[in-house]
Amino acid sequence: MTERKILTSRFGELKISKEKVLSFPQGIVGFPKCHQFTVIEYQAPFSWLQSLDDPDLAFVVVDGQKLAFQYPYQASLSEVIDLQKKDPYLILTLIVIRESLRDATVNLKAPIYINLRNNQGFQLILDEEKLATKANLWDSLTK
Amino acid sequence: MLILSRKIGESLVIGDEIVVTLLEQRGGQVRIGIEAPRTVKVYRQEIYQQIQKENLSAANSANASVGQDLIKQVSEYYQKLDPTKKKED
Repeated sequence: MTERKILTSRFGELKISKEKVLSFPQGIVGFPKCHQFTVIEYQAPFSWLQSLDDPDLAFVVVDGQKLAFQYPYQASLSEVIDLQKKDPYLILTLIVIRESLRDATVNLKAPIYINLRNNQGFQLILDEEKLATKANLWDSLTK
Repeated sequence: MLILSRKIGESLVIGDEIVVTLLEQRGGQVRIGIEAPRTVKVYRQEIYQQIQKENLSAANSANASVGQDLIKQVSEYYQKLDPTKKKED
């Protein structure tokens, strides 16, 4: 089967081709049973990260490469998602929409790395003081 | 909870691949060394819980009642931002 169908609460029925399925061997922090996701509705630099295990679960994410903070290659991911230095990869950070869009925050401490060679993803927690879990989204984007 | 007594320098083995060693006791703190495969991530509990909570907030703030328009709204807001605050691609 080269296509997967899923009935989501936001987007109705989605047909996801096999190459768009991202697998998270260890899930996402707090959602250990959600192992498959897909990125949809990309409007640069924002998109949805939709779970394929839970049709109600989706995150608004921003392309980590558009953030002022430059995430480095993480050698520790070589054994988790087989991320080698030469591999193309995507970094997504999770957005929390608050009372108004202006107050939206981005979690800089826990970026999701996706190895585009094998479509495997992992949410890393970076134990660094300077990376806030509730950084203002708009201030965090590159100027 | 399993409770075991250990002296400084002694270790515990968890499963086949994880070794936890008590390294040093100073003041009210204990330093612990952990050897684990790289696929096993070790975090201080309060940081892990903070991320868990933040991920839940992210999921809830984008819940289905908000609708799929959200990305559009976020993107439009971004487009309207002061250009000096926005990277031109």
